[in-house]
Amino acid sequence: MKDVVRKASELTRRDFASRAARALLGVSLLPAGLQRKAFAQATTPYPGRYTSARKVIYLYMSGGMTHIDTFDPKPDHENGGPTAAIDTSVDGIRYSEHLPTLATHADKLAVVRSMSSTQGAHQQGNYFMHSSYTMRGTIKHPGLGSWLIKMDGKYNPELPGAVRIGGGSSGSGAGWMESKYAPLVLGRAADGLKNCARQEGLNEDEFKARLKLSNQFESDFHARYDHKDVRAFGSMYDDAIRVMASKDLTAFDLSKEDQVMREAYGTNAFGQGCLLARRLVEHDVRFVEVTLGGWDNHSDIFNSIAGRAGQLDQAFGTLLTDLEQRGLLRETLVVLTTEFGRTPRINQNAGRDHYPKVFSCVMGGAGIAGGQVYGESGPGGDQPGDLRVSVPDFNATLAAALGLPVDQRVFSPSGRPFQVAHNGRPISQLLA
Amino acid sequence: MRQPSTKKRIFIFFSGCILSTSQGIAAANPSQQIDLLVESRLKELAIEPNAPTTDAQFVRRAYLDIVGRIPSLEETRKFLAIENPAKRTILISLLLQSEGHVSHSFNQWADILRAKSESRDISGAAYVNWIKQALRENRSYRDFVTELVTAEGQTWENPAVGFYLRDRGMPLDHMAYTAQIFLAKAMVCAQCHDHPFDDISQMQFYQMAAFTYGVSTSLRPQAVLGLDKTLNGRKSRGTNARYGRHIDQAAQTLLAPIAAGVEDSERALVLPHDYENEDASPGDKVRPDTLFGDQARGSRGKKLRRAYADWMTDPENDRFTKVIANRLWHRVMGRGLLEPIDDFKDASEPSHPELLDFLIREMKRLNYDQRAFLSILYNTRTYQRQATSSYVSPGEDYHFAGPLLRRMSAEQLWDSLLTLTIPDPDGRSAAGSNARRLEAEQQKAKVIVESKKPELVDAITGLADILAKLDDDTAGLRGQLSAAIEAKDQPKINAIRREIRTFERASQSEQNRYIAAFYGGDHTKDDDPLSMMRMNTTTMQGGQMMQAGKGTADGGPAAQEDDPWRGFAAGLVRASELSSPAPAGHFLRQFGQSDREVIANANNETSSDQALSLMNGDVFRQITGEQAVLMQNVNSAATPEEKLEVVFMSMLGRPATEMEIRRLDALTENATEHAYPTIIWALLNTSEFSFIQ
Repeated sequence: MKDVVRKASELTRRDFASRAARALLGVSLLPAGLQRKAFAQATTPYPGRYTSARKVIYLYMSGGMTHIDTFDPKPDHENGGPTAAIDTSVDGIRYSEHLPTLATHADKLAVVRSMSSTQGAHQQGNYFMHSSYTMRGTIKHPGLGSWLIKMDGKYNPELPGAVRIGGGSSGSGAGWMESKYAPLVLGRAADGLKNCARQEGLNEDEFKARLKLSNQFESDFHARYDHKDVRAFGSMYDDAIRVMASKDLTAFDLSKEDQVMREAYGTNAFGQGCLLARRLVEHDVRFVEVTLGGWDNHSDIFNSIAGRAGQLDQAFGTLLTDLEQRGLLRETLVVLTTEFGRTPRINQNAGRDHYPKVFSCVMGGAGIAGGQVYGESGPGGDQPGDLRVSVPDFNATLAAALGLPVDQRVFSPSGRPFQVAHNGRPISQLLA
Repeated sequence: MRQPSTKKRIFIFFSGCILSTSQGIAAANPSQQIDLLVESRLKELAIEPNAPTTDAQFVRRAYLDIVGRIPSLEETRKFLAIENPAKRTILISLLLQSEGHVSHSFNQWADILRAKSESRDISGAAYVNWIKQALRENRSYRDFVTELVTAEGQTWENPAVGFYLRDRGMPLDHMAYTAQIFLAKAMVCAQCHDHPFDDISQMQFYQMAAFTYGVSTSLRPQAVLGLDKTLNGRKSRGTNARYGRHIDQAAQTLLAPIAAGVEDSERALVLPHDYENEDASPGDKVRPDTLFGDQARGSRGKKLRRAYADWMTDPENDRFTKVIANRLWHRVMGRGLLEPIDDFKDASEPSHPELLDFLIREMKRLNYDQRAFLSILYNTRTYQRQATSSYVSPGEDYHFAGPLLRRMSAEQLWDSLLTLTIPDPDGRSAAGSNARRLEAEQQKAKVIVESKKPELVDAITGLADILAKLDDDTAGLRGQLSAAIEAKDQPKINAIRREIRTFERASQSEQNRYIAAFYGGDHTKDDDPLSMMRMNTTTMQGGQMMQAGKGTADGGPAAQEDDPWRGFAAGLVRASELSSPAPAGHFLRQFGQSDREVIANANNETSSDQALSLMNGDVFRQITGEQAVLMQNVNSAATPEEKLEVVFMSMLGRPATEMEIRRLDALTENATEHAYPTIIWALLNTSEFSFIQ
């Protein structure tokens, strides 16, 4: 049998090269204009300072994070409920008592307290926050990670450009862009990237022979169906084969971290996700999103907030310390968003409902002027005031921090023009 | 519990003489009318319809579309061997009546209804069972919807209350979801302001919501049992300031079995404090009123919901019928006549107005019998044409030259791989453990209801004492933790957190023992629904699921001698029998199964980890395992030619082409046991396997 396979392998080596070997080189798959840039970035040591951020760790608070009990406490107003405020490392800025660790990092963070969305339902709000466009039946819009890779290329040609850890079954995909710009989705951080190794007992030649055979079976079907989804199916194998050959696969392996570090982030899914995010940006993955769910506190919010915010505080706080100590905070933009805030007025079930009119999001690290609060929500936490920040404005600010051309129009295959943050304008006061 | 299996029915069909086809011919009339409507449009536009499917293409697609998996080798061969010209019609009819169809339809409805089996109490699992049962009985769609929107009582009396409990504490969202699912009316925007693109005002939304706003989903068992006063008296007796909270928490925990239910209350809906329209003021009470058509009559409470249900499901309410007719058309053809299928704007025009009208009339004529309706669609020439080879983008006009080419859903892929692995996949059910969970919960409710008030109060106080003790024991540590965070002393922070967790774990076991003792009897510990669910979830994680020899699907203690699935892992059941949704990281989730958070949230996007899973993951080992149906069939075939035919027919539903055979000659001529797994691997990783032609 082995002889047979080897023979098949010799016969097919040239064909195999057309799919797998090219894929292993990675960069050749990038758009022509981006190749040199990506290659240069991947091989040149980074200079000491940047004018803009190069990578992103994006923390998404799914369900609608209460602003009043986290980054915008109102201890002197009845809407504040029992949540107290504490001092931070920046004079005059106070966070809620549930964020004691993050309070020590306030100098690195810019809290936008005047976020305002038009979308009051989870799916719509989540979609809007990730894409800057409202949901439409006729097209799907890409998320910021896909934009970043499409406009500015990958750094590590072997690993995915963008990774999403946890989170729901939809959202922040590549939208109308080709599927190679879609983030790789990991269910659980602790599992890392599963199935990267060839099956036991299968050597590389045998594996290649199998792939070759599969490609041959594939050709008729591809000829018959010139179809976007069929092409995407093929390119998913290119990506997977490239990942398998990567020397950076350990980026996905949390067991390489010592126990103190793992505990420091918190031994829950979100904490481990943040740790994995740090490992991935260390290995030049450009965009990593980590989701923390459970913010949809329609009832009994004050019984659950300490646990939820506690996980956030521990993981995000440790992440900032860790990034700073490794020098990664100088090149990594750190973001925290959510689909909307929660009603300032406490409802009859001791909970808070959806409130898109005003809420808080956070950015910090590379490209951002930390140590500030931008905008306000009024004494009762219910009015955005003069410095209202729309979702596209917030995303345009992130794009500007990343050095992406906010005004550049990019056309979908159907010929419709889109911009990275739709019609948003960057807020210069937030930029470093 | 074994369900009547598709395989047996088909066997009866194919081994006996062919059934009378008169039924099939009678049903063909509406199918032909549909074809005429589609084809006349195609002709007008000078578009050539796609060629008809071959029998081999048809049988694979029919199984995938109707029962949600590929046909087994036996099923494919039998269908191809029959020479009756009506065999497609008969197959459609048999498949629609099979348990496999229940499983496949459940996956779709679970996605639409966001049904989660793992809830904080038994209601989710019970609701999931209820949905399956309704589909199994082919309950008319009108009755199905009516039973959901009028559901009341406790979970074990009426599991349909899961429809409301799913949205516990979110009465406004609940109405928005309901209108989107059953009326294709997107009202979420109108929750906060008038709809920007559609003719719905915020007032209209509130008027609709007023129909169900009185439905209480947070039953407070303390109040139901009249314990509030006594319990409040106990609150001041504790050792710390938070003792009141401990009492509440203990009551919630201990009385949970009677808290899962809904009841109608007099709670009135008032306009929000930021209501800005001129027609009313913030704080005004809202009277229920319908969005369109006749007013629903009925004064309050139960009667009010009944009136609302009658209005919504009234055959005169074209919109209700249009939504389900269009939804099922979309399921069959891959594209609705109106898109998006759950958001019709007043201005949206169907692509084929006459056809949609015809479908609406048929749905009414059939009394909302979903299977009969689907049967008409599957029997059309239009459905039985080849899939359209090019990609049709969401906004593009489509004229149904054939169904769209689709990639298998996560569930279809999982269930197809299962078909290659275990015998009779549709017959293997995990319902046994669900039934036991429900029964155990009923038993607990009985214990509570039969206890005397003072007994309950003492039991609650006892549990509160355990909670208070944990609070006292960790108070010092929590103080130290704050100091350590302030000092940024990471090792110390970790150490203190560990210590707190130790206390929490010890307290948790004490609480569990206490609760089990209260409910009494041996069953309580093992059958605690939550721990059962957790156990199920763990055994279903990733690789473990694929290993053989882990007991039976229903978690029963001993496998029967005649158990056809003996030796196959418990997790090897159809997607619909696993938890809804499957746990994060599971194969199903990896391939885009809905997380059940929002309506129709499944996705078909590719991600490289899917390719990794198919190339290097457990599924390949699973389908090429010694015991796997596929390998058994390969091994029992006599010649290399026959073995090759088994592999191709099992996986793709067609024999290998001459070209393919020539390529494989080298591999199979001195065939060893490795040749066939290699071919299987290669086919598993083709798009032809994963797409529905």
